[in-house]
Amino acid sequence: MLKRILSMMATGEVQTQVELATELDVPEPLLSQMVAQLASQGYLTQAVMGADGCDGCALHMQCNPDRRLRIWTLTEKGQRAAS
Amino acid sequence: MHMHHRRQHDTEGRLVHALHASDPEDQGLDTVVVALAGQPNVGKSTIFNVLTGLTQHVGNWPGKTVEQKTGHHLHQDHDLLFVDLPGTYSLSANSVEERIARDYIIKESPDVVVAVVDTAIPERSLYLLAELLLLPAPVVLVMNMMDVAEQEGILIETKVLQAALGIPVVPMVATRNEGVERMLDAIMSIVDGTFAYEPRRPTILATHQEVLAGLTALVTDYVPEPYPVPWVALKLLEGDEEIHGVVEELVPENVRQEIRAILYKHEDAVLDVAGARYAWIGRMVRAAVVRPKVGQVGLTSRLDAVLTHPFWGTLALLAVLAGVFFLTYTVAGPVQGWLVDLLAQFAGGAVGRLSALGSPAWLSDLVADGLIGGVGTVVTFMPILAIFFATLGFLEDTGYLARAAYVTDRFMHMMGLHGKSFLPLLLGFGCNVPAVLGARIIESPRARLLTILLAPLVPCAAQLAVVTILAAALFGSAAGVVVWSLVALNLVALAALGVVLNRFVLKGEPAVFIMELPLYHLPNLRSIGLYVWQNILAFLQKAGSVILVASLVVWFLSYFPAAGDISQSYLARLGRAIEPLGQLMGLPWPVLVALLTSFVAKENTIATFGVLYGDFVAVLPTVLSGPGALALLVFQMLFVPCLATVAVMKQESGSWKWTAIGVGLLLVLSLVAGIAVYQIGSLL
Repeated sequence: MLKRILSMMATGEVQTQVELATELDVPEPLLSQMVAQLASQGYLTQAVMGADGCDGCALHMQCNPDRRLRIWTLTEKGQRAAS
Repeated sequence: MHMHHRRQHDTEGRLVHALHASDPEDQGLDTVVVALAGQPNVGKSTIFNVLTGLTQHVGNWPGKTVEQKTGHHLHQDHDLLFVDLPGTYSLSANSVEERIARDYIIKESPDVVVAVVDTAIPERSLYLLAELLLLPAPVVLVMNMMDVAEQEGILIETKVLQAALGIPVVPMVATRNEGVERMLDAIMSIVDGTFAYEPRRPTILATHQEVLAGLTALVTDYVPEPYPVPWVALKLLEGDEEIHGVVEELVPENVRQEIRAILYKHEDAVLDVAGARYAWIGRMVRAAVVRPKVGQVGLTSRLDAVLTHPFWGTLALLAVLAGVFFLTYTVAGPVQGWLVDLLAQFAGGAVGRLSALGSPAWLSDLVADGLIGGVGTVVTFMPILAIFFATLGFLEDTGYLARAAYVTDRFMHMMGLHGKSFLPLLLGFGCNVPAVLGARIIESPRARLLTILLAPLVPCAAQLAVVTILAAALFGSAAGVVVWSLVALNLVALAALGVVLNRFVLKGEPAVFIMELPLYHLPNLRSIGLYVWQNILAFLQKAGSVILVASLVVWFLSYFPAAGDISQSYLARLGRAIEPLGQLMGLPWPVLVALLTSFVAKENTIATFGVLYGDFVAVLPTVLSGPGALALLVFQMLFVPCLATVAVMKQESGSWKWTAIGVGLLLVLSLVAGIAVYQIGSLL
């Protein structure tokens, strides 16, 4: 099941956790937990909104359009496991 | 299964508890040891307190700083010794708490382990149960917080779950003392063997069963008591570092090498092992949990069916954007007009006072045109920004902006753009500088370059503020539609340029990310207020620094060397030199100069208009024709990025050539679009 998450992400079949949960036929809270486990084991990483050098910029509060939006990307290890 | 026995628990310092004189153990009763396991915040401590009351002993786990709590409870002439295990999410060796919990269960072998679950989110706790069932101690599952789950509309069929799991399952509301007796009965039914304990444990996929058998065979002779051999082999396969370390010390060199080779070859076996547990949880939840059909989750799903739909979602996004601009103009426009009047009175008063004090003419002019005309004019647009950010803050707080991001991403995919580019480009709506810097997250150098080149086409907050102000001055009630179209134009230009560059610079790569969209909820006025305040503050800081300096420079160039005769100034000479270009777009030289100053910071266009025209809201419509006004806005939106963005483009691309190409492309694009709009508009 975890491997399927990685391979579905790698092929770009799904873009939200809702879609992923529907595809895998699991409840969303369970999917969130799986995503968290994949992240803790280094297969996924949370994309950080903002960038180096933004600290101190007067406009940096405007950068992240939704601070509650969490985005996960595949790490190199995740890419390898997905292939 | 009759494991009921008398124990002395403070031997070997494992369970050091100062026994009270009244402790049941001293009264000659048989002791049943029960370990309470569960995640943090599932109500484990409440159950422990309800059961043990004054018999509790609090100390530390041997050799650890983690608190250990034990206590007694009398039930049907049995002394139940409860041991509160640290709250854990799993039984891996990720934390001290997890190591303590699993070591206790393996080494002390309690008679029963009670796994406590938060019924409102059963999936979260069932992973721990999946791991507990692999250990030798029998498990009773307690579904706590049944009341909270019911409030959420979640129904648990505990009998079905019990049948599916093959272990006792007890519903409970510990805070109301409901279900505690039933739990004690369930514990005793295990101890006295009246419950047919036949747990259905998660199994691993066939592909790894052979590997597991191989590892089991390798370690069997070396695993010390009381560690269960199959569990040790499974933990090795999962990549458990602690168990791996222990095994490496115990096995001879040749076995060590064999184990390493197997684990290296099956590095990702953890995905199958843990994946099988999740599949098991999924089956259990599907069998016994009924989720609500209505309510917050249902509302989110229903709204998302429309708002994240490729077609309807895009349409909704366009409508929402139109609504934002409409609200901005209708509410803030009149307030801005009052501020302009106020500023004019203030400027008049200031100049009058300076003249009365006998100050030189240039100083009065500097204050009236340079400072008040430049910075002051920019500041009068604060109401427009306040409404703009308030509507954005509202959309963010309800959870809609995340959907907007999702829909935009779909749109980019349709245009053949790189999915991951979406992340930094999204930042561009705030400021282009982090958008360019954010391109670092893209591994492929070509995709990164493409993103850097496209980022300036995302209209930043400053750019939106400028066109919002100019559109209001030039198009009155139609301003909302005009700005909406301008944003759409930029995004279309971005997509078109992206498709073209994608074809020549980069071959399409699939997206490698997923989003966790938050639930929709009612907005919090306080957080919206904070969002508006922070943005306004940032805007004022900029007005007091970059815009102030630029305003003074523009004033200097427009005042000297002809002592106030702007037509003979340095700025006029520069403007006239480029005026032929402006004529193609129907723009007189002061307008062109104002556009050029936006290279320093986008807001400077407004400040320069303030310096050169004074009340430009009144003057601009008189010096520009309709097509000219539209050409001005199109040019402003597509024009080269600000100096700070260009600097990071160079820094991030590491190439002057590509920076020049990026800036050049936008210069050409803005000129061509500006000229086309004016020329075509003049023909109509």
